[in-house]
Amino acid sequence: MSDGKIKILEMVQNGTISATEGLELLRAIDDNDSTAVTSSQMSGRFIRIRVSSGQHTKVNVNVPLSLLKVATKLADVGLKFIPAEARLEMEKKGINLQEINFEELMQLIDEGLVDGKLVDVDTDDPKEGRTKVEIYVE
Amino acid sequence: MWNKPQNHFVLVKIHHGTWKLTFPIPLFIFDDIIKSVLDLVVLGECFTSRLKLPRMAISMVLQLFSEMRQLGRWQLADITFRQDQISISFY
Repeated sequence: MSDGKIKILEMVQNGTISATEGLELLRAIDDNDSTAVTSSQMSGRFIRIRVSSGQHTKVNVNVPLSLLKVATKLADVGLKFIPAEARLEMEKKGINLQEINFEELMQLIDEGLVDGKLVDVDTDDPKEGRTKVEIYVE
Repeated sequence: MWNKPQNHFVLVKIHHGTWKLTFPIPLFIFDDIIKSVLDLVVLGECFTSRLKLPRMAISMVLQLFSEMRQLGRWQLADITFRQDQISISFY
């Protein structure tokens, strides 16, 4: 048990705070602990891209999620550098870069993963051999 | 700049046939240069509001560098094609 929790229980025992107040404080401490675990897990998570094609080609790319979050913010700012004329021209072709919500994209990556796998493709070509593409969060 | 006790590098390793090239790129140098540019941009912002976006972008790049530093040692990419290999790692 943490020192903070012992201190709260002592305060309840001494009558400094009521049992209800003590319970609320204990819940607050638990909430803080769980938030800390989530953020530390986040910093250590990677998006891993694995491609193996035949016996000769192997691609192994690891992108940290924390870095990806900052990069998406940077991309958000970078989009504002696109000249208005070019943006209009792209919009005419049905491409609206301003509509891309990078934050939502990151949230989807965070939430939408049940077993951590985003892409899992396995093909067997008689010429190229077996090609396997995996993108997952670990 | 070089005398600072910092070490944050991108290590690019290229392996082609029989020859091997390892190239360390000192990121802390770029970090210092970008910080100096940011100082100039902040100063320039007093005179024109057109520098607001560049200032934001430079700050983001600095944040990116800081995130990379916090991650410690990690490998970004390792690509092998037949006898050629390229590997990019940070440390």
